[in-house]
Amino acid sequence: MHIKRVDPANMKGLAGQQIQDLDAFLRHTSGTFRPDMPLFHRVVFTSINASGDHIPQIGYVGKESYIKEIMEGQFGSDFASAIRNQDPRFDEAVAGGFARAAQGDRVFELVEMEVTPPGALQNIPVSYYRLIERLWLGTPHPVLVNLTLPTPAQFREHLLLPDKAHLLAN
Amino acid sequence: MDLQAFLNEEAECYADMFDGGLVIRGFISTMLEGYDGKSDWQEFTPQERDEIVMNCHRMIELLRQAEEG
Repeated sequence: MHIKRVDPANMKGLAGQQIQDLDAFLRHTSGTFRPDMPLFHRVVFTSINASGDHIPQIGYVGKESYIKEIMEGQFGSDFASAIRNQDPRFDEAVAGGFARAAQGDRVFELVEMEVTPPGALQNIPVSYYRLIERLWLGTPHPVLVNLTLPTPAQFREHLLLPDKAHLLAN
Repeated sequence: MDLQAFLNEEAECYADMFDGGLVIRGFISTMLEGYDGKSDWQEFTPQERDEIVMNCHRMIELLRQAEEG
């Protein structure tokens, strides 16, 4: 797995534009949630208590979020544990970004990895962009907002694959 | 009581619990708007109902943490 920091201005395609839109909104509101927040149905809110070892506790999961797609309906009260159980390596690999965002960094990354879907003989490369930033919901301490979107290259892969192999990536 | 009325009451309760009550009201309203204009409980599928309830439940847990630090 490769995780690379990317300037959002250099993120390509619609995914890049949407990450820039959300970042611009968060800058405009100084990180405060408002009902007109763009991409609300595609984001995930997590706890700011991020150790860097695991994905932090998950609160809101947008109905069109990438992470919801890959969980294939397995959502209960502890979403982060469900992800950890489904793919411990992924959990460990991506946890660092949440810890940095909790410290106040605005995290913009390209994540590239290979997955082996059930029954497949070959690995399939997947790639996506992600944003993680702090978000204030009226409480003294913030939460984290995460927007994860397939890159244009991954989207083409998505169109070619009839199964859900690519979804294992997030 | 339909879902919207129920959630409105919930929003008011949460407003009492947290200083950010208006934020919570906005959060719940925006979340519901994602369901194609549905507002009555009967209109939501069982899966959508579960999604809504679990999202509220998980968010309240998150806000308790954000309240306490």
